[in-house]
Amino acid sequence: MGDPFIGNIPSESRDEVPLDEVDAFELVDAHLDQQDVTPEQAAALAAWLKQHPEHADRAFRRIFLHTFLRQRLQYAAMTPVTDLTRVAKTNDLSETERSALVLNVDEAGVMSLSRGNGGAAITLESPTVSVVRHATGVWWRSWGLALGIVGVLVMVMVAGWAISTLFLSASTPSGLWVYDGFEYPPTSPPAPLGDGSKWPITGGIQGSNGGMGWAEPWREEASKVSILVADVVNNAWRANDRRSAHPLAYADAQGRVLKTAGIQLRTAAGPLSKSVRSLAVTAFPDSFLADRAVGQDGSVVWLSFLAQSFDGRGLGNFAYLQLGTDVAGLRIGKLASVETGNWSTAGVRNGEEMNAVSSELSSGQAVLFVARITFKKGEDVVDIWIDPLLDKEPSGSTAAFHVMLPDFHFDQISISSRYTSDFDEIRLGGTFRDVTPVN
Amino acid sequence: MEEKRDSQPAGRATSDEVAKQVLSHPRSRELLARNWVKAQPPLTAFLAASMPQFSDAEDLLQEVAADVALRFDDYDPARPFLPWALGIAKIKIANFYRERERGRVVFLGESIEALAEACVRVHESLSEERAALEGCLGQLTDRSRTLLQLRYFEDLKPQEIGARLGQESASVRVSLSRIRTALSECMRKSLLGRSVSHG
Repeated sequence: MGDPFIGNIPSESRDEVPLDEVDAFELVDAHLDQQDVTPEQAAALAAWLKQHPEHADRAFRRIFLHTFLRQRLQYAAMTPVTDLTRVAKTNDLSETERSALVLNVDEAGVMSLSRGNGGAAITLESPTVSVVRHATGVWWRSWGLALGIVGVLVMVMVAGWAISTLFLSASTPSGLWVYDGFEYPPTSPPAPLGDGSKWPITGGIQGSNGGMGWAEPWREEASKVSILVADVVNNAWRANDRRSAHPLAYADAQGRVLKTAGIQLRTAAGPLSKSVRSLAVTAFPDSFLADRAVGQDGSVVWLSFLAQSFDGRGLGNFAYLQLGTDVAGLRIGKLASVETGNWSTAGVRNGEEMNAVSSELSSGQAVLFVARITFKKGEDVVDIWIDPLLDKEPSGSTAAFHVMLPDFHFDQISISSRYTSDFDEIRLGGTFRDVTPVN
Repeated sequence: MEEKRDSQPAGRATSDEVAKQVLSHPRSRELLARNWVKAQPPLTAFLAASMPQFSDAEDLLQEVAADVALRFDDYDPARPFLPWALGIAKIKIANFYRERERGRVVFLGESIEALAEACVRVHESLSEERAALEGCLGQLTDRSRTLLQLRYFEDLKPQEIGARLGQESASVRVSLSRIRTALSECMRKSLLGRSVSHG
């Protein structure tokens, strides 16, 4: 048997080949590295491919190597260990099984096909089954009794937390301490539409210094930059851009309209953009500060912002706002560890997303996030409401997420993305009312 | 999914609903899941070769996946799944270029069929090759790993990588090609060694 990777090409066939294998692979590499290939080179390659099946086989293996590397490196670098992957590992799923499209059927009979690593997904119904819910289902079956006991303890803790929160709310200083409505000139010229490879790598939000409560201008820390868009209708990235219907805005179910101004931030289409801005922590009450950052135990900070992604796609893509750093922080948005791509949140500890929970809302849908972060001794807690009524502070029971966070402080906000998404009206304040002003 | 429902005329079943009906039979679900697991890696590679950018290939893979589910009742289980799915992929590729009023597929051109046939021939061995490549990745030098990271994770073109590292783009292209060739060679030796050790 011949070497399956070298093959058995008759010598006379080799003599007739206009390209040798090295040349052919260089052309394959050039195409997949988005380098220009001339029509003559393409024709020569096509002739080489058709000359012998072994040629086509080898070229296909080369192409497969590219796709393997892309998926493998993106997944390894971007998808941290989550509860789901931990459960998957304990269930001894092979790499192949985790990396392929799998069919999931939940208790209600809702079917979904989802990807583990670099593939496609078919969701046959609104993705009501969150990643975390799937994982916890396994967990409950295994640890039902233990969790029952823990559940009682948690209830006691939650009751204590509720009491302390009520107490803290009564004594919390109020005020809007940080705001950016992105009242900057739109990026000109606008990004070329539909071609991520031509997305700006300079300019954009870099150096913009408006709003209040900031210590310095926005700065970019990745290969692409976020831009500023005024006319969303005529700047649809592609025809199916969900953001092109109207600018980011929010009116609650009873008609109250969130105060908005200026234009909106648009993250890069294609890896990566990371826009970072340091806070003027002195804008916060002294009692909120610890180690020159916000997050003194006992303080409560409210955050709000508007967001909408190009569409609801997940599959390892992300676009999120982060408080704090990758060492310890809070992420809200479209998260790499949530395959559905639905709006989600997670704590961050040493670069890993922890306790990720996702909503049933597609990230292609424009939403208003309102978060209440309660800093406590030990783990912190965040409650997040999506599209709440704006008349008064919503009750904890209506929160979309209630998540325990690793103990963290923050002195910066960042917006990271590898899937073009819009953000606007970032506010940090002492009360719900401070971060949700209405017209 | 939600977008499709929004644009669907009232009273007409959405593609999601059709797919749900098609896949309501347990046998169909199992068969689709099993077949797709095997077919997805070669389909991804085939689409990557056919599209101008990898992101286009990823988008198209989703559309192929949706169509495969929609049309799964048309699939004859007595026949191989991959060629059937490739047929759908080829239609999607043609539609992609027609809708965008682009020229024909420059890279593949008339050789698209030759590559599709290669896809069918080699796909059975790809999972084994993938496992071998995992081992080979661990043998790369830090510099090679950095180049691959910049290319595939940050999605930088060779020119951009060159600018980042202070190198000529031609040098980056050559280095990337050599790393890929080294990985291919490592994989080949690994599989041949395994084949020998298993008698």
